Parts: sequence; structure tokens; C-alpha cells
Amino acid sequence: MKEERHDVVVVGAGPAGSVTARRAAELGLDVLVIERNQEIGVPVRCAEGVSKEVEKFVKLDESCICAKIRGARIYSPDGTEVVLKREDVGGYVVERRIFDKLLAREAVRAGAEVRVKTRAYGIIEDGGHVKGVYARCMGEDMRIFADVVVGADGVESRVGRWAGLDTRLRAKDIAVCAEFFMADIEVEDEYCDFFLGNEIAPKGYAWVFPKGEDCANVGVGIGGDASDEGRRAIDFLRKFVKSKFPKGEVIAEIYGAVPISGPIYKTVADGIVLVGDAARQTDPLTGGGIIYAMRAGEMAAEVIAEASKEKDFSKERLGEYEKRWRRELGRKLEKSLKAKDFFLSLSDEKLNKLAHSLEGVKIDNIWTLLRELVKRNPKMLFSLAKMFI
Amino acid sequence: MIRVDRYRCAYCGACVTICPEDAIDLAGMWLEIREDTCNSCKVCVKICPVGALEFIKAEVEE
Repeated sequence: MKEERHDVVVVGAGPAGSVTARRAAELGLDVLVIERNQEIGVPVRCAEGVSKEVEKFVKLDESCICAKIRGARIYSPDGTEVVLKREDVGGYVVERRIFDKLLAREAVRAGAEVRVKTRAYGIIEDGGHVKGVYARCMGEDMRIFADVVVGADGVESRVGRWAGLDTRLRAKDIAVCAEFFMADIEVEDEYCDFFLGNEIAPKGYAWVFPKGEDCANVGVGIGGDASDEGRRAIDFLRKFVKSKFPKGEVIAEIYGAVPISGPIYKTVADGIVLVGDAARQTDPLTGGGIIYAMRAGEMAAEVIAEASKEKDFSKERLGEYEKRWRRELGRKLEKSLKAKDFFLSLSDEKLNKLAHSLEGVKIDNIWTLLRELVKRNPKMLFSLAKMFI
Repeated sequence: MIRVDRYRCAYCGACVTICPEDAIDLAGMWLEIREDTCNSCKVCVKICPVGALEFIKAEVEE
């Protein structure tokens, strides 16, 4: 079997993997990224909305910005509209097919090596300490040794499991989603729209994210535990599209699963760290994960670089990554998890009542929204208020 | 056993994520199912966003 050796092998070239690789290469490490698909960024498994914070990690090319978003419109089950609006641009709807390649190009420019159509099928270990991965490319098997393996292999991550990290999710811990990229429809191109309701998207939400001119990503995410024969994400999406965009045409179909459990307990073991969806570093309320993935990726790379100097890749030494991401991202993820569980506990009637209570209120972000809800509905929202204490 | 309709499967990874026995794997854009590891719990069949998975009862030949 062919053998090679690197400082770091990153499994997965999505945002988590590419940013980890870029940062690690910038810090002088020998990095190899392997990607099972033959094209980075494809298939897309995303609604493609990202906050303006993305600019902290990469300079966006106009070619990957489909829309510049100034606000969100949230619709309760009876259609009551709640508007979140800012004066400036708050986020973008990006073209993941191009965005992901942009991140990979940055990693390559920093000195990382990238290999596509290369799939990891096992980890190499020595006494419980991860030493690398087994991979296959075009029928050729190889042993890739590395001081640290970075598991950036997405929602269905295997790498962590192979190393004994518990990344299992139950149905209720996943939002399963179906999305159409639709053309020739009427959309408000500065707003992302969200639709709630048990008949629209049980235990989830439907969305319309503009992608420029007369196009948009139109999707439905439902709780994994709400999915069953005849009540699948595609069934809800077809119903939604029939009522909202009966004349539109579908140019692409996109499907995905999003962890909504909050992050897993342990994202580190001897010789291995998990980043991004693999670590379940996704927002349980919105389903967003790109920013968390990139920030965690940078932190992982920095800790790995420090560990390299000391030649210590034990879980204790790599545990500094765990400490850092929990300190910087953990609280927000926890708050989102509580907010999600709270909103899931509300009936359609209660959601309508909450939406009505916000009539005429000026809101510019989601935390303001939650605070205003608490102010106006103290009895109903006692448990939500506890989140802010 | 679990049968996958490859023309329907949208390679979202939900079934892979949910399988308690790690019997399904996603090799990029197609599924690999390990029959001997599958415990027939059918959570994959339920969660699939497009209904690409089907549970087929094994037939006993006499």
C-alpha cells in the first residue's frame, strides 16, 4: 500500500476543512486535504445563507454572492409577518459551488495540498491514538500518516466514530431538508423569508432565500422525528411551492440533513479533532453552520500548530481546541438550542399569538426579537426569559 | 434488508447520520449498505426526505 506522511490530514473540503487547512498551512504545517467528491462544493447541501461575519474569513468574490440581505421576514402559521430589518447588509446568499472552491483556493495558496475524489475509509491507530487515515483514490489504496487527523467530514461524519467519538444523532436531533432552486418567480431580493407552522414545516421551517433577480432557494426543513411516509421533506416542499410559486420552474434540487442537537460532548481524542457539522457545531435554531465551522477551523489549526511545537498530540493537549471553541461559540449554541426547544414546544395558536404581540415593533436582529417577545408575553415566556438571566 | 432507489436518492446523508448500526455509508453521491450490519430498525426509511429507501422483508426459501 502506498504510504505518505503529513503534519495534518484534513478529511473533507467544505468550509470547516478548507479553513482549518488554510490556517494550519499559514502557521507552517504540512497539510493534506482529502475530499471524497470529485468536485469541491458539489453536491450542495445547504440553503446558502450566511451572515456578514463570513467576511472575517474570506474575501468574497462577486461571483459567489447571489444576494445581499438586509433583513428577514418571519411568518407565523396564520401568515402574520414579523420583520427584522437593518440599515446595512446583514448577510449574503452565496453560491456554495463557488464559495467552497474559493475557500479551497485560499488553503492551497497558503500551502495546503488538496486531493479530490479521495475517500477515507478508516483510521490508522496505535494503542488508541489516531495516527492517520486509510484512503482510496481511483482504485488505489493508501495509508496517510499524520500527527493530527481533522474530521471535517460533514453531518454523516465517519472519522470521529472510527476514533471512538460519539457523534450519533437521533431523529429528533436532525432537521431533514428539501430545497428547490427556482427560477422565474417573484422574490424580494433583500430579505430572507421564514415560514412557521405545523402544516408547512413540522418541527422546522420553510424558507425563501433570494438568489438574485427572479431566482431563489425555496426549501423546507422538518424535524427528523416528524418525517414519515407521505410526510417527507419533499412532500411538504411540493405543497409549499404549489401554494407560493405555482408558476416557477425548478432548476436544481438540493437535499440535506442538519444537526440541531447542539454540539457533541467530545470533539477531541488522541491525534484527532472534529470541526464543523462533524462536531455538530451548527445552530440548532437556524440550522446555520458555515460561520461556526470556519471559526472552529481556525481554532483547531492554531491549537494543532501549538501542539506541533511540543510534539504532543494527546487529547489533553488538543483539548485546548475544545476549550477555546466552547468558550467562544458554546454559549451562543446553547442559547440557540434552548430557543429552538422552546419554539418547538409552542402550538401554531401560540406562535400566532406571539407574532401578533410584535405588531409594529422595530426589530433588527434575532436576540432583540426574543427580548421583545419576552417583554410582551411575560407569562407565556417565563421559561424563555430564564435564558437571559 | 434495505433497498435504495438510486434514481431517487439525493445523497443528503440523513440515513447515514441516523443509522444506529453504521450500516449505511455515503460514498460521495451514492449509498453503500452493509446488509449484515443492518438491524432492520427502519429509521433510515422514515427519515429519507425523498423516500428513496425501502425495507424488503427477507424471503425464506424452502
